[in-house]
Amino acid sequence: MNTTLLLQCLLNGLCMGLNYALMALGLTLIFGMMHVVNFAHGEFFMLGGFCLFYLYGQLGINFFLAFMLTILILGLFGQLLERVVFRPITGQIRPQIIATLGVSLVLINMGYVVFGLKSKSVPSVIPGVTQILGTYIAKERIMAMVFSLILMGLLYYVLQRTKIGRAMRAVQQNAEAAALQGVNINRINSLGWGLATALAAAGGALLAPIFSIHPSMGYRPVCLAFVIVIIGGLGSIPGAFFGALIIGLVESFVGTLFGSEFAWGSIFLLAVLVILLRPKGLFKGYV
Amino acid sequence: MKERNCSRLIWSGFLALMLAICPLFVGQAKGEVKYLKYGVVTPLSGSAAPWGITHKRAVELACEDINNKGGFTAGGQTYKWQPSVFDSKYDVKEARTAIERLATRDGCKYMNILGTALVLGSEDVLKANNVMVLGNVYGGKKFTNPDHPLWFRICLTTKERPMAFYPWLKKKEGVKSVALITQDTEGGAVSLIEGKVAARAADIEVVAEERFEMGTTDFYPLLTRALAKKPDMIDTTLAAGDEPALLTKQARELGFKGIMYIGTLTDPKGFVKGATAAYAEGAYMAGLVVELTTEIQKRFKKLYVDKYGEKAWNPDAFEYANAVYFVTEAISKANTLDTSKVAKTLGAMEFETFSGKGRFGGKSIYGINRQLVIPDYLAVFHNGKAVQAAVVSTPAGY
Repeated sequence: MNTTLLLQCLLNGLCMGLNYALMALGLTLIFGMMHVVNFAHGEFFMLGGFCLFYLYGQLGINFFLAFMLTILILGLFGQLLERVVFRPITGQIRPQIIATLGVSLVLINMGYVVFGLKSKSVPSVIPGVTQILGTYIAKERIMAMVFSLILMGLLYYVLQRTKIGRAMRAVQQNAEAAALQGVNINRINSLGWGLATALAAAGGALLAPIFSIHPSMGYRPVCLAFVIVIIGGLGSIPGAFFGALIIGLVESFVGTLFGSEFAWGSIFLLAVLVILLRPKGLFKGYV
Repeated sequence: MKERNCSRLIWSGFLALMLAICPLFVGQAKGEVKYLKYGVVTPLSGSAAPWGITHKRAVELACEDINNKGGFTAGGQTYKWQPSVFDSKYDVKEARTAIERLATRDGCKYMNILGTALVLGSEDVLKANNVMVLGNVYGGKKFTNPDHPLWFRICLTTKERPMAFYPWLKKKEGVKSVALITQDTEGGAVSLIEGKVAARAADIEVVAEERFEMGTTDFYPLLTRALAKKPDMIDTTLAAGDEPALLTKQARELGFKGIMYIGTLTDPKGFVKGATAAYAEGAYMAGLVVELTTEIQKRFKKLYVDKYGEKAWNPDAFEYANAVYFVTEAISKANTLDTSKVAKTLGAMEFETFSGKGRFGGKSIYGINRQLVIPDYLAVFHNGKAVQAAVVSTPAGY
């Protein structure tokens, strides 16, 4: 294996890892704040892809505007879901699990009805390829990496530097204590849902021009997101970020060095090892 | 009074019974047309849906066409087709449920199934019910062998196609090495073996063999690995739906400048959309009929476009519709619905297909004549459009 190939693996892994991070961050945010294991998270990813397809691919709205609108629309949709479906069953684990499964099934099947059965292609935003030290990467993938980093930077800023972010972290650590300090739990939960949904939608929207979109496209990313939050530690924001990078890189290196059929196996093996050796995850405790 | 009521009851019962059985006699007396189920088990959702949607439309249209011409006769009875389509989701369990329902509840004896594993997963049901299987399947000898006399492979596969096209591509494009990339499925595994045999026969070196899980969208790791071996050509042997387009796009993004050969026919418009016209440039696609040269091709396309619209046209339709016509011909010729007799007739007869004269051959390879043998088409993409590159005869030995 030469340096170019290693570098190519690294680039491939980083690109996918950063996208997985958007998914995993949303998933861990919802779990951290509301202790909801959200099986419908992959469907938010799918809706993000389709929203961009219609806004950018069909209506011809500028990509960046369409991307922002996608985030906004899905963010509001997440808040609506929280208000209508999840708030009435706050704190009830089993109903919450059934509800997320139900939402997932409804969204996938509605996706088939509304968006059709065939995969759809989103037109290229920045066609072409760029060469970095002998390696090749599509400009769209670089764009997706940059956008993912910007979104994660914004999330970090919101969580660490704003009053709302502090309230979110307080709810994540101890909801009752936060409520006693005057934090409006319902409002913060609603914001958390909106943020998490928007992040997943952003992931789907960024990958839409790179791959193709179909109603069941969220299945694979959500599976990976669950593995990531297990590796990183359920509820841990840095854990989701670094866990996603680890998964992206493992997938890329194992897929390239040993073949694609070993990539998923190695990812789940890693998850099993983490569960056995460090059950709380590699970054649990870092909120 | 009681006696009168009893008498009324008896007469009413008799009348009801007569009314119930009357249509049977009337129907038989007038030679009423009977409907025969033509089962279709195909993916109508998921990544392989583009195959299934065209499959469904083509079969329904072919049945309608035959029915409009008055149907067909067997044993003095006139029949018309009644297509019964189920979504397999390209999943063995889903397909088995559909096949069981068709075979045991609906008494369907003629089934067109897409996907090797889907047929093999229901082998017991199909055999127990003497179902004639018309398979749009690969799977080599696992599907086609003397133990399956009622199973017909109605498409050309990754065995026949590279045997026909590799020598052509070697001569035309100077291909010396190939990377075989396929789905990690039953059919995919067989297609790798067959690709290697065809490459060896054409004196082309196989430098990479890669498998991917169905539904994969990011092929960068797999392609990085394959391209490191510097192949002259990539053969996406068995890839469904948008997979060939994504493989082509991503291979070009990673700097591959060689020949892309799409070994399995897929929707050409979807392919160009998914891969983009720039990256689809120069890619070859096996089995793609672009220039319609015969009257039956033109007629069927017109029927299809009239019913589903120009946008929905997919040349895959020829492959799926073929079987409806030649099975109908075989039933009429055998003059019975008995699938064993129809199979025997079909295995020995010559018939007209959209690609020209067809027959079932392959005995020297599979041990039984159950592989469709027809001239095959190759297309190449230029400026986002498919152009006919060649029509190649069946390789020797069939």
